[in-house]
Amino acid sequence: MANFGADGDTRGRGKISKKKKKIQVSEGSGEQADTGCELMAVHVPSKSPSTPLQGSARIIKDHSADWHNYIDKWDGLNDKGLAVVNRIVTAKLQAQESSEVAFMTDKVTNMETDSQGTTTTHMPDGMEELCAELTGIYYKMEKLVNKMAAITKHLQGVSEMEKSLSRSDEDEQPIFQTWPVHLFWETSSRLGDMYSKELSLKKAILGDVAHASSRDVLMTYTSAWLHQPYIDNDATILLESMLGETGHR
Amino acid sequence: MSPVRKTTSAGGEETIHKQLRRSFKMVGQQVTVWQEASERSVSVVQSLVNHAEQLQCCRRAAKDGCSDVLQRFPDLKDRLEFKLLGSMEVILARLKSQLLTMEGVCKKHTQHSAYSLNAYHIHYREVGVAKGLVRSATWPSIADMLQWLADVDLLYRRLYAEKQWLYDTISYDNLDEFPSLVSRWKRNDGELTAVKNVLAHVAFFMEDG
Repeated sequence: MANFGADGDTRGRGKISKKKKKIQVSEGSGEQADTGCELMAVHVPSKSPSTPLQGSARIIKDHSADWHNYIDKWDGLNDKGLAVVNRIVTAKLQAQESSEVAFMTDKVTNMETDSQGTTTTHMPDGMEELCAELTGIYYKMEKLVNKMAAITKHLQGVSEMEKSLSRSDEDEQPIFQTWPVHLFWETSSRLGDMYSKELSLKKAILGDVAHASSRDVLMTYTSAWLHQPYIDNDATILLESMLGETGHR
Repeated sequence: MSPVRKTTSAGGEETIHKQLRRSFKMVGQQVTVWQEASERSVSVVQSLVNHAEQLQCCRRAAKDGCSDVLQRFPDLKDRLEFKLLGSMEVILARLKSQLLTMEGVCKKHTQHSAYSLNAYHIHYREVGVAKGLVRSATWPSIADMLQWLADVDLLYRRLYAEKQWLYDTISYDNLDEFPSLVSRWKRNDGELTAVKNVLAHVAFFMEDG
């Protein structure tokens, strides 16, 4: 069968530490202009440290880093899951093959050997453990998606708060370089939608992979797990834009 | 073209030998370049075939309609196809870059074949036909070596053209043809032993130089 994941892209993003980003935030918000003026002085609007924008900026920057780290974790889990799905599919296909062979020999020799023929109705050995492992990975992914949804909700709150604080006839001011607050919320929401849809697909695959018998369907499941069809190609661009905007890149 | 200068009769022969040595040195170096490109291209083709198989399975599974998941996610087939075709395009670009390396090898051979022939053309009156055909137990004749260079050039050109043709005929609509692509891609690789044979024939000649 096909060897999945052999040429899957290895995205070593690396973790963005909160410590680093907190320092950058305080520089970026103009609080300590003397220490960070070389890096950030050009982009940052001068706001008084007492305004709530400093808090919003920090929250947004923290959440951008969280997005990066969560997607990184998701990719790691996806790779692990793929390995398990691969093993399940291989085991199923092998079991099918051996049962077919057993059936053929049975037919040819015309003997009453029902010891081999029983494999068609039973699950291959070790399938339960593999499914349990995959379920564990799925739950971890679910947790991540919940965390992503929490970020979106938080950003929505921040965006609405900023809106209510600013005068309605005035355009929203960019908080870092060019993006107003609601763009962070929208980006987070779009990314969140992609990942939650992908999670629902993974749940469906998890439920059916051990029961499907058609080779085509099994291969499609493996392929769908690997290629993540509901995560659009622009997800990377969205994430990178968010990281670039907040100064992580 | 060639760095060959007019010299005396003995010098003329030496100049031709010098150029031939340079050319065969290049042949020896390019063997590994071609081999590496060829090996890499095989793994790229395997990856392409793998993706084509996934694509075919996806299309068949959607057509059969026996999967619950595919029915629950009606756009899954199109989305997966889009992703697979995107990956295949990237793989084809990688394959093209390997083909370009192979084309580079062909160009070098044509160039050197022309250099050596040119060296002979400049000096053939001084050297004479008889000397051009003389061979010893260890050294092949000038005529033989010129012929071998032309043969090797022709061989590489043919191998490259065959691979390029296979590349050009790859189509996402004929997925049934993909499984045999790897064997078709590797089919003519065995002919490269001819190049190694030529290099073995000139081994002593090269050592004496």
